[in-house]
Amino acid sequence: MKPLPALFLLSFLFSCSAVRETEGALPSGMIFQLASPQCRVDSVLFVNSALLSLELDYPDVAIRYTDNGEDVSLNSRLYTGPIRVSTSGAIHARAFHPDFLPSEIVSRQVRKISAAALNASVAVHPEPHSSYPGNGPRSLVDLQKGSAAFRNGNYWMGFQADTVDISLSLDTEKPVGLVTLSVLEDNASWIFLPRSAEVFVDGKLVGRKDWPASTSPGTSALQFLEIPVAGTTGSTIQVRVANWPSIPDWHPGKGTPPWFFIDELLIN
Amino acid sequence: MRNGAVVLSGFGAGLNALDSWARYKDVVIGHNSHRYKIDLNWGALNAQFYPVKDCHEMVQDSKGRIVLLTNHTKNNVLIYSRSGQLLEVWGTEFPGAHGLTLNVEGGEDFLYITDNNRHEVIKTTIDGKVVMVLPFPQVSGKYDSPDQYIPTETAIAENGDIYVADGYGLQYLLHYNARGELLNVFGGKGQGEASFDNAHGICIDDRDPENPCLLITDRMRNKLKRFTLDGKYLSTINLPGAFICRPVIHRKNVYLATIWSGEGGEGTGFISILDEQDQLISAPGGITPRYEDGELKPMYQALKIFHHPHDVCVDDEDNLYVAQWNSGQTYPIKLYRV
Repeated sequence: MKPLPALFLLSFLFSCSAVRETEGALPSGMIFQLASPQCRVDSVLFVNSALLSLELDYPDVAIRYTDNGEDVSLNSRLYTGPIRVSTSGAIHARAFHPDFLPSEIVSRQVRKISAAALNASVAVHPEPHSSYPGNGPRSLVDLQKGSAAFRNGNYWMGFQADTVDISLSLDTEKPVGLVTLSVLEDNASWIFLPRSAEVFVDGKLVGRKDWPASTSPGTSALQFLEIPVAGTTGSTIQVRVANWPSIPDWHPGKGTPPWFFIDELLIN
Repeated sequence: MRNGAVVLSGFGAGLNALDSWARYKDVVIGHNSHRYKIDLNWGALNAQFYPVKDCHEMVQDSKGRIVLLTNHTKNNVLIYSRSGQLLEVWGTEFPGAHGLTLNVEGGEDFLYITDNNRHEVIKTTIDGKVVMVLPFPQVSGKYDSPDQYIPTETAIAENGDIYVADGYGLQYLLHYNARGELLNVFGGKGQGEASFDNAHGICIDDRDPENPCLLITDRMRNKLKRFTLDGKYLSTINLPGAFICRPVIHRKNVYLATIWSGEGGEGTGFISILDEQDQLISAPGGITPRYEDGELKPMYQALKIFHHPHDVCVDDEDNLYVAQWNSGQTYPIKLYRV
């Protein structure tokens, strides 16, 4: 699998990829399209490995997939059973059938993480909104990933605040090389990416990242926002997330504070 | 829009290439005893003259005609022949037209329309003359203001009693007599078995004439709940992965438009059909229904034929008409039983 790019687009159920290949080879007049395969992962964030399964329970369907970032075509590998994944990366899959147009591509990212923060104590300020409290501050390091259906389960913390401070106290001093925010972007639900984030280790600023303002509606996506940190060691890690003051002018919610949604804070 | 090809073809009666027409008409969807061929162009009209927004619900009247309710106030009600020929339109006063139920009273057809925007239920003759309005039920003591009450469906009992599902409001079920006097209130939003998260649809289940009861959808929880006519909770039918809109009884089966499926993503609808034992036996547009240890495996869409099915009407020939919400202002899709 390819190494992770800085910004991950995690389109859990459906990607927006257009149907491109194979149409020339299909009988003319075909208009119905297969639905995307269902994709399930036992743990999107894993320490050792994850098991990924694909399914579209319809007669004569073949599911094909890639793990190198390429589009899925009739020449891609045939799915025959659950896939064991032990490195960070993405699986792209698509369903094919002799009588129907191929499905859209479904993509699923998985991410290998270190166990550094699993036992950390966590403080969050301000408190998340009462409608999206997650499962308490510790749920930011429990490796339990939320889905794009953000109202389901207690995975996501939602904020409407200028800044959000997340502090981790590790049980011992540990090296810190990369901090990753696992966030949701869903502009249609007024949930936006933050403007910037700063990382402090033992009180010292060691990393900062800025992200561009959203310029178009886009689709719902789970994202990993990476903040590289100059190699350092410490036992307290503070992440200060700065949000945009208001929703941009192109959006129906313009002028009001955007939502910021986070379900995990990953330390490598 | 993901299934643009399908939605677009719904617009253009006769515009498809002939081979395309022939090809998709060979596709058979559904399972077991309930399988269907598809007519995407049934009822397609010139939208400049007869526009629709959401096609919310459909019923068949005593003359065999197919009655469609839309929230477009140029023509809230469109009446078709079974073959899809437009016969009549009426209605400009129902901006939130949502639920449509037909009841025969003294040999005459009456329609019960729930209006989301007007926060009331309107009873009309089959040609649109208003005969009764059930306003926001302040007398129930459950509501502070009309905007808390957003009725989505009605069901009419043998004795003329009217049940209203407040599916987008506070989730109560309101039981009136035929004169519109409130008799009982039950349900409501909540976690318990007798409570709801989107009590979207209701019908009278009279398949056992000795023991008529109510079937009510708990849409966001993928459940169909059975209650006595006086509002006592009886049992739940679990349909995991199926976001069901309203139950429709036809002969021995229950038909349910399923607006979303799986995790509830956009454009993932199909049709659900239950047998007398409350088992899902056919899912046109969905995967094959499978039971393990008596539990239905979670359902999801298999083919992108439907976008957001909102109601299914079953005619006297057992054919289906599927009205869709938020689906590119397309007209209904007809399924022919094979």
